[in-house]
Amino acid sequence: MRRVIFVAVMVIGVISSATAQNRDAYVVRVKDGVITTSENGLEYDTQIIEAPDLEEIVSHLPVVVTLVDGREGHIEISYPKVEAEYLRCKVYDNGKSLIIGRNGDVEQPKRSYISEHTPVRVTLSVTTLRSIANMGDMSLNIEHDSFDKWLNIVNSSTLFINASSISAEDKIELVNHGTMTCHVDNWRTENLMLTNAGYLFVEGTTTAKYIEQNSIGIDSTNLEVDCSKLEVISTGSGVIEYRGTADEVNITSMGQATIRTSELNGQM
Amino acid sequence: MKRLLIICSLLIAGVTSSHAQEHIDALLTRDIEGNRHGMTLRSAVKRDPETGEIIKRVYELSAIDHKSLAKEFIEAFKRDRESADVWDESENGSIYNVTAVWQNPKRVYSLAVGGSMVTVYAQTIYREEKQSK
Repeated sequence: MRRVIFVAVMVIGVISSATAQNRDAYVVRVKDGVITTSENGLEYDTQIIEAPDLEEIVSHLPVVVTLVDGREGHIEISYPKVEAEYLRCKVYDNGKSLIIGRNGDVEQPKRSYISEHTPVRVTLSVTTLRSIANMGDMSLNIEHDSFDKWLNIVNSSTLFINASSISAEDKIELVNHGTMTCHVDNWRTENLMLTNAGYLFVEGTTTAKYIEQNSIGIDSTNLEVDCSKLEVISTGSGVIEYRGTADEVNITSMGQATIRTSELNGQM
Repeated sequence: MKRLLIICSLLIAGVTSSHAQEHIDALLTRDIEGNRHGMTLRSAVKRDPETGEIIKRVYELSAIDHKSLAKEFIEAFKRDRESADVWDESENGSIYNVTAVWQNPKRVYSLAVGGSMVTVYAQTIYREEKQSK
Protein backbone atom coordinates (compact mmCIF):
# COMPACT_ATOMS: atom_id res chain seq x y z
CA MET A 1 0.00 0.00 0.00
CA ARG A 2 2.82 2.34 0.94
CA ARG A 3 4.48 1.58 -2.35
CA VAL A 4 1.30 2.39 -4.28
CA ILE A 5 0.97 5.75 -2.49
CA PHE A 6 4.67 6.50 -3.13
CA VAL A 7 4.35 5.72 -6.87
CA ALA A 8 1.13 7.77 -7.14
CA VAL A 9 2.80 10.76 -5.46
CA MET A 10 5.78 10.48 -7.83
CA VAL A 11 3.51 10.31 -10.90
CA ILE A 12 1.50 13.36 -9.78
CA GLY A 13 4.77 15.22 -9.14
CA VAL A 14 6.12 14.44 -12.60
CA ILE A 15 2.85 15.44 -14.30
CA SER A 16 2.60 18.73 -12.44
CA SER A 17 6.26 19.61 -13.12
CA ALA A 18 5.80 18.79 -16.86
CA THR A 19 2.67 20.96 -16.96
CA ALA A 20 4.57 23.80 -15.31
CA GLN A 21 7.40 23.43 -17.85
CA ASN A 22 4.92 23.41 -20.72
CA ARG A 23 3.26 26.55 -19.36
CA ASP A 24 6.70 28.13 -19.19
CA ALA A 25 7.56 26.94 -22.71
CA TYR A 26 4.92 28.99 -24.49
CA VAL A 27 4.62 32.27 -22.65
CA VAL A 28 3.65 35.00 -25.09
CA ARG A 29 4.02 38.76 -24.49
CA VAL A 30 3.45 41.60 -26.92
CA LYS A 31 5.25 44.94 -26.59
CA ASP A 32 5.85 47.58 -29.26
CA GLY A 33 4.75 45.18 -31.99
CA VAL A 34 7.29 42.54 -30.95
CA ILE A 35 5.89 39.24 -29.72
CA THR A 36 7.95 37.49 -27.06
CA THR A 37 7.61 33.78 -26.44
CA SER A 38 9.48 31.70 -23.98
CA GLU A 39 10.73 28.38 -25.23
CA ASN A 40 12.32 26.08 -22.67
CA GLY A 41 13.83 28.95 -20.77
CA LEU A 42 15.09 30.88 -23.81
CA GLU A 43 12.89 33.80 -24.75
CA TYR A 44 12.24 34.36 -28.44
CA ASP A 45 11.20 37.65 -29.98
CA THR A 46 9.08 37.58 -33.11
CA GLN A 47 9.13 40.48 -35.48
CA ILE A 48 6.53 40.85 -38.20
CA ILE A 49 7.48 42.50 -41.46
CA GLU A 50 5.39 43.14 -44.53
CA ALA A 51 7.41 42.97 -47.77
CA PRO A 52 5.18 42.08 -50.72
CA ASP A 53 8.00 42.72 -53.22
CA LEU A 54 10.63 40.57 -51.52
CA GLU A 55 13.04 39.06 -54.06
CA GLU A 56 16.05 38.04 -52.04
CA ILE A 57 17.04 36.46 -48.72
CA VAL A 58 20.62 36.76 -47.53
CA SER A 59 21.56 34.97 -44.34
CA HIS A 60 24.79 34.93 -42.38
CA LEU A 61 23.41 33.07 -39.35
CA PRO A 62 21.99 29.67 -38.45
CA VAL A 63 18.45 30.03 -39.76
CA VAL A 64 15.38 27.96 -40.54
CA VAL A 65 13.45 29.45 -43.43
CA THR A 66 9.98 28.13 -44.10
CA LEU A 67 7.93 29.15 -47.11
CA VAL A 68 4.24 28.87 -46.36
CA ASP A 69 0.96 29.74 -47.97
CA GLY A 70 -0.49 32.94 -46.56
CA ARG A 71 -0.92 36.66 -46.98
CA GLU A 72 1.48 37.87 -49.70
CA GLY A 73 4.57 39.51 -48.27
CA HIS A 74 3.96 38.48 -44.66
CA ILE A 75 7.23 37.64 -42.88
CA GLU A 76 7.73 36.50 -39.29
CA ILE A 77 11.24 36.48 -37.88
CA SER A 78 11.93 34.88 -34.49
CA TYR A 79 15.23 35.01 -32.66
CA PRO A 80 16.49 34.56 -29.08
CA LYS A 81 15.59 37.72 -27.17
CA VAL A 82 19.06 37.97 -25.64
CA GLU A 83 20.46 38.36 -29.14
CA ALA A 84 18.00 41.08 -30.21
CA GLU A 85 20.40 44.03 -30.00
CA TYR A 86 23.19 42.12 -31.73
CA LEU A 87 21.17 41.10 -34.76
CA ARG A 88 20.19 42.83 -37.92
CA CYS A 89 17.12 41.27 -39.50
CA LYS A 90 15.81 43.90 -41.85
CA VAL A 91 14.37 44.44 -45.28
CA TYR A 92 16.51 46.64 -47.51
CA ASP A 93 16.51 47.80 -51.09
CA ASN A 94 12.91 49.08 -51.15
CA GLY A 95 11.59 45.93 -49.59
CA LYS A 96 13.33 43.62 -52.05
CA SER A 97 16.08 42.17 -49.88
CA LEU A 98 15.85 40.54 -46.45
CA ILE A 99 19.19 40.37 -44.69
CA ILE A 100 19.68 38.24 -41.60
CA GLY A 101 22.98 38.86 -39.90
CA ARG A 102 24.90 40.43 -37.07
CA ASN A 103 24.65 44.08 -36.21
CA GLY A 104 28.03 45.52 -37.12
CA ASP A 105 27.45 48.70 -35.11
CA VAL A 106 27.63 47.04 -31.71
CA GLU A 107 30.24 44.90 -30.05
CA GLN A 108 29.17 41.27 -30.29
CA PRO A 109 28.71 39.13 -27.16
CA LYS A 110 31.30 36.53 -26.30
CA ARG A 111 28.68 33.83 -26.20
CA SER A 112 26.18 33.38 -29.01
CA TYR A 113 22.74 31.95 -28.32
CA ILE A 114 22.08 31.38 -31.98
CA SER A 115 22.98 27.89 -33.09
CA GLU A 116 21.51 25.12 -35.17
CA HIS A 117 19.49 24.11 -32.06
CA THR A 118 18.28 27.64 -31.37
CA PRO A 119 18.33 29.23 -34.82
CA VAL A 120 16.71 32.34 -36.19
CA ARG A 121 13.36 31.30 -37.64
CA VAL A 122 11.91 32.96 -40.68
CA THR A 123 8.43 32.08 -41.89
CA LEU A 124 7.32 33.84 -45.01
CA SER A 125 4.69 33.77 -47.70
CA VAL A 126 5.91 35.43 -50.86
CA THR A 127 5.70 34.49 -54.52
CA THR A 128 8.30 36.97 -55.77
CA LEU A 129 11.38 35.30 -54.28
CA ARG A 130 14.16 34.77 -56.82
CA SER A 131 17.38 34.62 -54.83
CA ILE A 132 18.52 32.87 -51.66
CA ALA A 133 22.08 33.35 -50.47
CA ASN A 134 23.28 31.37 -47.49
CA MET A 135 26.48 32.07 -45.64
CA GLY A 136 25.40 30.60 -42.32
CA ASP A 137 23.67 27.29 -41.64
CA MET A 138 20.33 27.26 -43.36
CA SER A 139 17.48 24.82 -43.42
CA LEU A 140 15.06 25.75 -46.15
CA ASN A 141 11.64 24.13 -45.90
CA ILE A 142 9.36 24.74 -48.83
CA GLU A 143 5.82 23.96 -47.76
CA HIS A 144 4.33 26.24 -50.38
CA ASP A 145 6.19 26.04 -53.69
CA SER A 146 5.94 29.54 -55.14
CA PHE A 147 8.90 31.33 -56.68
CA ASP A 148 9.51 33.89 -59.35
CA LYS A 149 10.32 32.78 -62.90
CA TRP A 150 14.01 32.61 -62.02
CA LEU A 151 15.39 31.11 -58.83
CA ASN A 152 19.01 31.36 -57.81
CA ILE A 153 20.27 29.59 -54.69
CA VAL A 154 23.84 30.28 -53.61
CA ASN A 155 25.40 28.46 -50.69
CA SER A 156 28.82 28.88 -49.18
CA SER A 157 28.16 27.14 -45.88
CA THR A 158 25.64 24.43 -45.01
CA LEU A 159 22.25 24.32 -46.65
CA PHE A 160 19.50 21.73 -46.41
CA ILE A 161 16.53 22.04 -48.70
CA ASN A 162 13.39 20.04 -48.04
CA ALA A 163 10.59 20.25 -50.58
CA SER A 164 8.28 18.05 -52.56
CA SER A 165 8.79 20.42 -55.48
CA ILE A 166 10.53 23.62 -56.49
CA SER A 167 9.02 25.52 -59.40
CA ALA A 168 10.51 28.45 -61.30
CA GLU A 169 9.25 28.77 -64.82
CA ASP A 170 12.45 29.81 -66.61
CA LYS A 171 15.44 28.75 -64.57
CA ILE A 172 16.61 27.15 -61.34
CA GLU A 173 20.25 27.71 -60.57
CA LEU A 174 22.15 26.15 -57.68
CA VAL A 175 25.63 27.44 -56.92
CA ASN A 176 27.38 25.65 -54.10
CA HIS A 177 30.71 26.27 -52.43
CA GLY A 178 29.81 24.58 -49.17
CA THR A 179 27.63 21.59 -48.36
CA MET A 180 24.25 21.57 -50.03
CA THR A 181 21.79 18.75 -49.53
CA CYS A 182 18.61 18.95 -51.55
CA HIS A 183 15.80 16.57 -50.70
CA VAL A 184 13.56 17.75 -53.49
CA ASP A 185 11.30 15.34 -55.36
CA ASN A 186 10.63 17.49 -58.39
CA TRP A 187 12.49 20.40 -60.00
CA ARG A 188 9.97 22.14 -62.23
CA THR A 189 11.64 24.54 -64.63
CA GLU A 190 12.86 25.03 -68.19
CA ASN A 191 16.58 25.31 -67.35
CA LEU A 192 18.36 23.59 -64.49
CA MET A 193 21.91 24.69 -63.75
CA LEU A 194 24.05 23.07 -61.09
CA THR A 195 27.45 24.50 -60.20
CA ASN A 196 29.40 22.84 -57.46
CA ALA A 197 32.73 23.46 -55.81
CA GLY A 198 31.83 21.84 -52.49
CA TYR A 199 29.58 18.87 -51.75
CA LEU A 200 26.28 18.80 -53.59
CA PHE A 201 23.50 16.26 -53.15
CA VAL A 202 20.68 16.48 -55.67
CA GLU A 203 18.05 13.87 -56.45
CA GLY A 204 14.57 13.57 -57.88
CA THR A 205 13.04 14.27 -61.23
CA THR A 206 13.11 17.37 -63.37
CA THR A 207 11.00 18.78 -66.15
CA ALA A 208 13.94 20.92 -67.36
CA LYS A 209 14.58 20.90 -71.09
CA TYR A 210 18.13 22.18 -70.66
CA ILE A 211 20.35 20.85 -67.91
CA GLU A 212 23.87 21.98 -67.23
CA GLN A 213 26.10 20.66 -64.48
CA ASN A 214 29.57 22.00 -63.79
CA SER A 215 31.53 20.54 -60.95
CA ILE A 216 34.95 20.76 -59.41
CA GLY A 217 33.65 19.41 -56.12
CA ILE A 218 32.07 16.23 -54.82
CA ASP A 219 28.72 15.33 -56.30
CA SER A 220 25.96 12.98 -55.47
CA THR A 221 23.53 13.52 -58.30
CA ASN A 222 20.67 11.22 -59.19
CA LEU A 223 18.19 12.83 -61.53
CA GLU A 224 15.51 11.53 -63.82
CA VAL A 225 15.23 13.70 -66.91
CA ASP A 226 13.36 14.12 -70.16
CA CYS A 227 15.27 16.93 -71.78
CA SER A 228 16.50 18.41 -75.04
CA LYS A 229 20.05 18.93 -73.88
CA LEU A 230 22.15 17.66 -71.01
CA GLU A 231 25.68 18.91 -70.48
CA VAL A 232 27.97 17.75 -67.68
CA ILE A 233 31.51 18.99 -67.14
CA SER A 234 33.23 17.47 -64.15
CA THR A 235 36.74 17.72 -62.82
CA GLY A 236 35.58 16.67 -59.39
CA SER A 237 34.62 13.40 -57.78
CA GLY A 238 31.59 11.54 -56.51
CA VAL A 239 28.74 9.98 -58.47
CA ILE A 240 26.67 11.72 -61.13
CA GLU A 241 23.78 9.68 -62.45
CA TYR A 242 21.17 10.64 -65.01
CA ARG A 243 18.24 8.47 -66.07
CA GLY A 244 15.47 8.95 -68.61
CA THR A 245 15.78 10.51 -72.03
CA ALA A 246 17.80 13.36 -73.52
CA ASP A 247 18.01 14.48 -77.15
CA GLU A 248 21.56 15.72 -76.84
CA VAL A 249 24.00 14.64 -74.18
CA ASN A 250 27.51 15.99 -73.73
CA ILE A 251 29.63 14.69 -70.89
CA THR A 252 33.19 15.75 -70.17
CA SER A 253 34.97 14.27 -67.21
CA MET A 254 38.53 15.09 -66.26
CA GLY A 255 38.36 14.25 -62.60
CA GLN A 256 37.52 11.15 -60.64
CA ALA A 257 33.75 11.32 -60.74
CA THR A 258 31.74 8.30 -61.70
CA ILE A 259 29.32 9.52 -64.31
CA ARG A 260 26.52 7.10 -65.06
CA THR A 261 24.42 7.83 -68.08
CA SER A 262 23.96 4.24 -69.22
CA GLU A 263 20.29 4.36 -68.22
CA LEU A 264 19.90 7.42 -70.42
CA ASN A 265 18.54 6.65 -73.89
CA GLY A 266 19.32 2.97 -73.49
CA GLN A 267 22.69 1.24 -73.45
CA MET A 268 25.67 1.87 -75.80
CA MET B 1 15.54 -29.29 -90.90
CA LYS B 2 16.69 -26.73 -93.47
CA ARG B 3 14.54 -24.08 -91.80
CA LEU B 4 16.03 -24.90 -88.44
CA LEU B 5 19.55 -24.57 -89.83
CA ILE B 6 18.71 -21.21 -91.42
CA ILE B 7 17.21 -19.91 -88.16
CA CYS B 8 20.24 -21.15 -86.20
CA SER B 9 22.71 -19.54 -88.58
CA LEU B 10 20.74 -16.29 -88.54
CA LEU B 11 20.71 -16.30 -84.74
CA ILE B 12 24.45 -16.97 -84.60
CA ALA B 13 25.11 -14.18 -87.12
CA GLY B 14 22.92 -11.83 -85.10
CA VAL B 15 24.67 -12.62 -81.85
CA THR B 16 28.10 -12.29 -83.49
CA SER B 17 27.29 -8.94 -85.04
CA SER B 18 25.78 -7.52 -81.83
CA HIS B 19 29.00 -8.34 -80.00
CA ALA B 20 31.31 -7.15 -82.76
CA GLN B 21 33.09 -4.64 -80.58
CA GLU B 22 32.39 -6.28 -77.25
CA HIS B 23 35.95 -6.07 -75.92
CA ILE B 24 36.40 -2.40 -76.76
CA ASP B 25 32.90 -1.53 -75.51
CA ALA B 26 33.51 -3.38 -72.25
CA LEU B 27 36.67 -1.35 -71.64
CA LEU B 28 34.99 1.91 -72.57
CA THR B 29 32.02 1.25 -70.30
CA ARG B 30 34.35 0.34 -67.45
CA ASP B 31 36.38 3.50 -67.84
CA ILE B 32 33.48 5.83 -68.55
CA GLU B 33 31.50 4.72 -65.51
CA GLY B 34 34.41 4.31 -63.16
CA ASN B 35 36.63 7.20 -63.99
CA ARG B 36 40.27 7.04 -63.01
CA HIS B 37 42.77 9.72 -62.24
CA GLY B 38 44.49 11.26 -65.24
CA MET B 39 41.74 10.46 -67.74
CA THR B 40 39.63 12.79 -69.79
CA LEU B 41 36.34 11.38 -70.94
CA ARG B 42 33.90 12.90 -73.33
CA SER B 43 30.64 11.42 -74.41
CA ALA B 44 27.90 12.80 -76.59
CA VAL B 45 24.55 11.41 -77.64
CA LYS B 46 22.19 12.87 -80.17
CA ARG B 47 18.59 11.77 -80.41
CA ASP B 48 15.78 12.59 -82.80
CA PRO B 49 13.43 14.67 -80.65
CA GLU B 50 10.44 13.67 -82.73
CA THR B 51 10.89 9.90 -82.70
CA GLY B 52 13.16 9.54 -79.67
CA GLU B 53 15.48 7.44 -81.83
CA ILE B 54 19.22 7.77 -81.17
CA ILE B 55 21.06 9.18 -84.17
CA LYS B 56 24.63 9.28 -82.99
CA ARG B 57 26.71 8.33 -79.97
CA VAL B 58 30.31 9.41 -79.45
CA TYR B 59 32.80 8.45 -76.77
CA GLU B 60 36.28 9.87 -76.46
CA LEU B 61 38.77 8.79 -73.86
CA SER B 62 42.26 10.14 -73.46
CA ALA B 63 44.71 9.30 -70.76
CA ILE B 64 48.29 10.08 -69.91
CA ASP B 65 50.53 7.83 -67.82
CA HIS B 66 48.34 4.81 -68.38
CA LYS B 67 50.61 2.31 -70.09
CA SER B 68 48.58 -0.63 -68.87
CA LEU B 69 45.38 0.94 -70.21
CA ALA B 70 47.04 1.46 -73.60
CA LYS B 71 47.96 -2.23 -73.62
CA GLU B 72 44.42 -3.22 -72.67
CA PHE B 73 42.93 -1.19 -75.52
CA ILE B 74 45.44 -2.53 -78.09
CA GLU B 75 44.51 -6.02 -76.96
CA ALA B 76 40.77 -5.26 -77.13
CA PHE B 77 41.05 -3.82 -80.63
CA LYS B 78 43.01 -6.85 -81.80
CA ARG B 79 40.45 -9.23 -80.33
CA ASP B 80 37.60 -7.41 -82.10
CA ARG B 81 39.54 -7.12 -85.37
CA GLU B 82 38.08 -10.25 -86.92
CA SER B 83 34.55 -8.91 -86.93
CA ALA B 84 35.51 -5.49 -88.37
CA ASP B 85 34.42 -4.57 -91.89
CA VAL B 86 37.32 -2.18 -92.34
CA TRP B 87 40.63 -2.32 -90.49
CA ASP B 88 43.40 0.23 -90.92
CA GLU B 89 46.52 -0.09 -88.84
CA SER B 90 49.67 2.02 -88.94
CA GLU B 91 52.77 2.58 -86.88
CA ASN B 92 54.54 5.88 -87.24
CA GLY B 93 57.61 5.99 -85.04
CA SER B 94 56.37 5.43 -81.52
CA ILE B 95 52.73 6.20 -82.40
CA TYR B 96 50.43 3.30 -83.09
CA ASN B 97 47.10 4.00 -84.83
CA VAL B 98 44.15 1.77 -85.54
CA THR B 99 40.85 2.61 -87.17
CA ALA B 100 38.16 -0.03 -87.32
CA VAL B 101 34.75 0.26 -88.95
CA TRP B 102 31.70 -1.91 -88.50
CA GLN B 103 28.47 -1.58 -90.43
CA ASN B 104 24.81 -1.72 -89.33
CA PRO B 105 24.89 0.45 -87.37
CA LYS B 106 27.97 2.22 -88.61
CA ARG B 107 30.64 2.24 -85.92
CA VAL B 108 33.96 3.99 -86.36
CA TYR B 109 36.42 3.24 -83.58
CA SER B 110 39.95 4.56 -83.50
CA LEU B 111 42.86 4.12 -81.18
CA ALA B 112 46.07 6.11 -80.94
CA VAL B 113 48.82 5.08 -78.57
CA GLY B 114 52.10 6.92 -78.11
CA GLY B 115 54.23 5.93 -75.14
CA SER B 116 52.01 6.14 -72.09
CA MET B 117 49.41 8.30 -73.85
CA VAL B 118 46.26 6.68 -75.18
CA THR B 119 43.30 8.13 -77.06
CA VAL B 120 40.21 6.14 -77.98
CA TYR B 121 37.46 7.53 -80.14
CA ALA B 122 34.27 5.55 -80.65
CA GLN B 123 31.48 6.83 -82.83
CA THR B 124 28.25 4.99 -83.56
CA ILE B 125 26.00 6.39 -86.25
CA TYR B 126 22.58 4.80 -86.11
CA ARG B 127 21.28 6.80 -89.03
CA GLU B 128 22.36 9.80 -91.08
CA GLU B 129 21.08 13.12 -89.81
CA LYS B 130 18.51 14.93 -91.89
CA GLN B 131 20.07 18.06 -93.33
CA SER B 132 18.27 21.13 -92.06
CA LYS B 133 17.27 23.43 -94.88
